[in-house]
Amino acid sequence: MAGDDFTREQLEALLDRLSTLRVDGPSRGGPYVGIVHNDLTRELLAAGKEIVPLLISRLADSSFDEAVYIVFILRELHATEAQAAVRKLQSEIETRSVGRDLTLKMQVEFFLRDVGTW
Amino acid sequence: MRTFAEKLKAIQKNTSARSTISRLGHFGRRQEVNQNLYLQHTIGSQAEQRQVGGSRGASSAAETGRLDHDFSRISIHSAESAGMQPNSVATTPRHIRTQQKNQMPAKVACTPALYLRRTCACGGGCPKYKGEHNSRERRYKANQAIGRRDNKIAGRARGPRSDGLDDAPYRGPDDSTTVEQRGPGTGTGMGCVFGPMRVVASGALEGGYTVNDYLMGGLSWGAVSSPGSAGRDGRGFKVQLSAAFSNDTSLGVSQTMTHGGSNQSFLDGTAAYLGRAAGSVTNGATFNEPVLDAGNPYAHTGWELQYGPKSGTDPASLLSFADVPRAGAGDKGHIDFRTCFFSRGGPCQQNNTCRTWRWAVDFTGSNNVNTVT
Repeated sequence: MAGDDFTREQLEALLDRLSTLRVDGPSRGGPYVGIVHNDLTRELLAAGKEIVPLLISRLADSSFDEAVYIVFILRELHATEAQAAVRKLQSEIETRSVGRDLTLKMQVEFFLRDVGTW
Repeated sequence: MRTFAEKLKAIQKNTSARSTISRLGHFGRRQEVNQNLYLQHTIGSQAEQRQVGGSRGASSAAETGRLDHDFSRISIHSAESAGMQPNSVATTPRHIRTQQKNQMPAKVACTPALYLRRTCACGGGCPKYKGEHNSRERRYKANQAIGRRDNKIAGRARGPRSDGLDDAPYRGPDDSTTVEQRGPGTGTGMGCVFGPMRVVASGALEGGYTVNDYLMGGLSWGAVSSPGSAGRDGRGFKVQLSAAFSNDTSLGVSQTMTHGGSNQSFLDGTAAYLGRAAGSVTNGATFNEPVLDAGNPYAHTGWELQYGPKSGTDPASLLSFADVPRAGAGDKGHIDFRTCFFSRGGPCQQNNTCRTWRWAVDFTGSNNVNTVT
């Protein structure tokens, strides 16, 4: 398993860096951007499913930008076990998106759209 | 030469004959040919006289083929069976004008057999109209399929409107502006859109708006320079779509996007926007805008239409919307956006008004192209 190559400290360090990312990406007219991979998200993906519980635990207290990337990575990892946490996030979307756009809302919708197919 | 109205009168005179013929319709093809002969005699064309020989015995395919037209294939039964509304026989000057409008083009394209429908003398629908209809139907079905697919993916249930208003029929995001001949409407909650739709790609946005005014609930388009003006914003572009409306502020909006001539970077940017895998978006494929509800253009999504001006001297009938597409480094190609505004709760003169606008970019190498037309 890919995650065996990472210690918990290393994973935590990667996740700390995740909190510094700012949402950026292409838009096709609507008030949100598409999320694409960068070096950090690829590193986190390489950690494999082992990182899923850590991502879920951070989701509740994450900033708008961090939450966007967490949900994006959870979807890329096909983390069905994160469904409850993402649904809870969905119920908080309006308050967590004030002053921002619909990127977090759309990432949540994409996750919930796809989770049934994993 | 008889006028068209005179021919219509001749048809009306034969109403009783047509009823009789309808009762005889089950006697078979030969009887049907004789029925044709009756009406053909009334009209008195030479072609009809040639059919007489065919009906007297030689009904073989070869004989039929010898004739210019196979009249046995022409329906002469009720108006309904001829693909018409039951009240299509002209009875008032308005009806006559309507029928003239509908039927004269068919007369020009080919010789109508009975002036009862857009039919060629050869027995089928005129190719001109058949193509027009099929094309429209294909577009409608294709867009419906897109909507159904995306709705299924999103898992959204499309129930009846919760506010009880009677929605105007949704005709698909790719419909052209549809105009229906109706009287002034008084429907509850009615809002009517009036085209044509305008694309504001430079200068101040109409109505004194900024692009953030089209976002509700404290949402923002983020770091956009000069949000009150249309035009370039780095690799983004601020666009305003506008038209006119009347009555209630409850109209709908939909939007689709179709890539053309785009490189993989640009296509994959759209895939990310749609929450799809890289490589899944191709040139020519049309996608619904994910934020707007393809199955219900009246849904409130946080990205909303604006009614009337915010400031300035624009008319109170102003209806507007805004888009801010944004490309990435290395992107090249164009996207044809099709934006539609929908009337609601009619009757309205127009069910919708639509406009296709093109966003073209080239950020490859040192190129720096970013236009909306």
